[in-house]
Amino acid sequence: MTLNQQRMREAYPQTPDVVRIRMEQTLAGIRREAAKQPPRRYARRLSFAVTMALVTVLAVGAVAAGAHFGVFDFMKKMFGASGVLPEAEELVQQNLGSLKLEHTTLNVDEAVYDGGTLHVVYSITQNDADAPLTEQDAEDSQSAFQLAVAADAVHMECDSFWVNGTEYCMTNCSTVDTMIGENDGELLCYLDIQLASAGIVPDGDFTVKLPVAGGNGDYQTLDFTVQASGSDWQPVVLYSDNATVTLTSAFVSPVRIYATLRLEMNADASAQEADETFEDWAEAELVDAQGNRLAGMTELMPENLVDGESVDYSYTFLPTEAEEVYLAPTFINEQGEWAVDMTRALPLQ
Amino acid sequence: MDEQAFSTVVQQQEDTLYRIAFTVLHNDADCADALQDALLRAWRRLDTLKDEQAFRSWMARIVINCSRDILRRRRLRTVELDETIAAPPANDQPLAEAIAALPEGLRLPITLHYMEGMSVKEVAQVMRLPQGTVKNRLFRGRARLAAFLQEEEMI
Repeated sequence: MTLNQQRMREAYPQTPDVVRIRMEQTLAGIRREAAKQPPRRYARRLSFAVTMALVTVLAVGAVAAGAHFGVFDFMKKMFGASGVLPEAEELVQQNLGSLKLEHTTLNVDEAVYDGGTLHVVYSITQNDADAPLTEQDAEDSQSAFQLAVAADAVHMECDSFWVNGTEYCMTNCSTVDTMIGENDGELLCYLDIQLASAGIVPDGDFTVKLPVAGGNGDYQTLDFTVQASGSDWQPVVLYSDNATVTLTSAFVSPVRIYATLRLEMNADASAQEADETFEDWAEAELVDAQGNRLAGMTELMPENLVDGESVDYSYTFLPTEAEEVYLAPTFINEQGEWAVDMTRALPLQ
Repeated sequence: MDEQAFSTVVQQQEDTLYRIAFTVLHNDADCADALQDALLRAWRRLDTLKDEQAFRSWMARIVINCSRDILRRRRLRTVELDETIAAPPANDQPLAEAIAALPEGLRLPITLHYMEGMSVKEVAQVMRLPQGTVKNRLFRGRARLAAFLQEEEMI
């Protein structure tokens, strides 16, 4: 017996109808919208109806009115537990900015900047609403709320944003969850932007512009300033036999712990050595000085990968109360077990 | 590529896209959400696809991203990267269970290469990993599958 395509496919279920139907509905929506709009418009940004199809997915389950739902409440809703330490509350900033449009008003209710990621809860409120939204209001494209949102060309997709006047393009920074708010005509939206992984390290307080309405390059932005302490991080460089490892940034906060690493193989390193080195660091652990595991990794993003030569890894870990925190690569030891290599460990604080 | 061509290409790759999403999510309802999200995101960003010949790997990357977004949203993924997942009902149940027992880092390259017929280079592009790492992961994945199935002839 061999591992061939036919046998592999026997190990997977057939595409179920629920998936086929959803895909066809989505494609039909795209075709409908494309037929209505001039090409340039939908090439740049989704129309309201298609966007709201996505929002409808996000809004599933957001039926109960949320009282003062904040960043950590959204994290808890999405992940089961926010995973932050109690002192994370000190990072919460409220009512940072608003944008009043003809039919709706957007407000930055809460923001948390933890040195690596900017978490934002903002509200979209129908100006003339006289009652809290219902689930139907949030999902029905003909509801007064959705018509108001459409009239103002409000959208929840952000594939770009500005920090201190510089525009950055980044996918995956759109609204990731929504919740019906307690106020009349109010929908709460949560998004997070992983600034550190994009190399954005503000030096002190910084201004953010989110293009939340408009299109075709003519956006209306939700502007706000976030308080941040400047980072005094100095890169830590580790030279080994076959590579240079530079800890380019590290942020230890009660919300999350972030580290960004650059791996550069020496010119005479073999492809196998490069693979093993990359692999060791891709499986890195957050440990104490004795090599004991402290907290789990929640995300690893490889960037700027040059085959066999270099890579940037951006790590995100859950927070820990430990005073000494190290990032250490792992390897398979002589017993065939995964082990932490403290000889190459890098201090994060 | 206009909306009709986009629909046609997506429909041709429907099963492939589902299997990729399923490799990450192992849940049909989540796969439906992830694929809807991926189609919308792909359509919006179609102008960034310079080479239409690369559509399959480009689309695969988007499906993986959207599937991982779903995991983030719904907490199906714990902080443990190597969490085990339940095997789906399948014609080859032992292999299904062996694949399900693999960590995602090995499951994805195995799926993309052996099931979808992507080359090592293409898998490397989709997963943003060096080709050598992909080869290593394929080797390790096959070794684990063989160990699980106790069928040494597989490798």
